Amino acid sequence: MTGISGGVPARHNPFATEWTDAIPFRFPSGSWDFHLGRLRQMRYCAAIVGRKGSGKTTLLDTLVRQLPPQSPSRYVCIQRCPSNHRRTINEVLNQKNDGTILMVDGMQRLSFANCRRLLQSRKVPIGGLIVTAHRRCALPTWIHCQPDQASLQYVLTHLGFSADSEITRHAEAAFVRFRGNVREVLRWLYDQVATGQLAIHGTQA
Amino acid sequence: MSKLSIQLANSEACYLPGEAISGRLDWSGLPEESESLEVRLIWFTRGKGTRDFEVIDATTIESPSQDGETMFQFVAQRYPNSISGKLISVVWAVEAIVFPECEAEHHELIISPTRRELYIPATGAGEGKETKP
Repeated sequence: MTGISGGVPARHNPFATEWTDAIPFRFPSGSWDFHLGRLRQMRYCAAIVGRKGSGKTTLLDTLVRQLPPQSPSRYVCIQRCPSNHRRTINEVLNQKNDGTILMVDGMQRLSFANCRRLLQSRKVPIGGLIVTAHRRCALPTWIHCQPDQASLQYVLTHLGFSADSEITRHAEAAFVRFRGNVREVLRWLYDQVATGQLAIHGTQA
Repeated sequence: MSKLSIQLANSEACYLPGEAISGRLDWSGLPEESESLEVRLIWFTRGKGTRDFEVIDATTIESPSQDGETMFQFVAQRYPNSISGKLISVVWAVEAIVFPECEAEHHELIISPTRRELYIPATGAGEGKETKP
C-alpha cells in the first residue's frame, strides 16, 4: 500500500473525498421518517443550520435521496457554483408551480439580492425552499447540525476504523482542536496518512 | 438486489497503452424497469479535492434481461497514465452501471508504459527532498 516515501498514495488513502462524501448523514436522535414528517409539516420551507464542517451539505445530499420521488416532482440543488446561482434561481421562480423544491447549499454564498428573492419566494407558489446556513435565518430551522464525538465515531466507523484504533484517538483530539469541524478533521487525517505521520496498517476494523 | 460481476481476461489488470482490455460482465437480479446496462471504460481521480471523471468508451445493452452475460473489449488509452501522488491519483476502471437505478460495480486497472502505477514524487515544502540548514 505504501509506495510514496513514508506515506500512502491518494489511491489508497481512506480519507479521500470519494469515501468521505459517500457517508450518509445520521441524525443524533429520531428516524428519517420522523424528521421528514417534520419537514413536510413545515411545507418544505426550512433551514439547515450549523457551523462550518458540521454536516449541513451531507444532510442536504442525503435528503435529496430520501425525499419521495412522486411528490414533490423536482428538486433543484444549488451548490458551490456561484456563477449559475442567479440563472437557476430565476428559472425556478419564474416557472409555474410544478412542485419544484429549491435547495440552496450555502445561503451565505448568495448575494443580498438573490437572498432576498429567495426568501420572498416563500410567497411564490413553488414546492419548497430548503437552505443551509451558518446562522438562523428568516426560514424556520429544520435541523441544527451540532456534531459530537459520537458523530465523529460514526464517520470513522463508516471508513473502517474501530473505536479503539489509533486513528480514532488522533481524530478525537483533532475534533477538539478544530472545534467540532468534522470536515477539517477528515482533511487533517488525509494529510497525516498521506505523509506517513499516521499509519493505517492494522488499525482499520 | 441486482448483482454485477466484471471479470477481466488479464487477471493482473495491468495494460500497456494500445493493448486490448477485454473481459466478461455477468449480471443477475436486475429490476424489470431497468432501461439499459452500460459497460464502460472510465478514469477518475481519487484524493483530497474535487473529483474528476471521464467516460472514454462504452457498450450499451438496451432493455437488459434480468440475468445475463456479455463480453466487452476496449483499447487502453495513451493518456492519462495511472498515477498516484499524495494529493491525487488517476485511476482507470471498467465500470458496469444500470440505468436508471445507477447501481454500479467497477474493476480498477492500471494503464501505463511500464504496466505499473506511476508515482508522483512529493514536491511540497519540506517533502520529498532534503534542504540544507
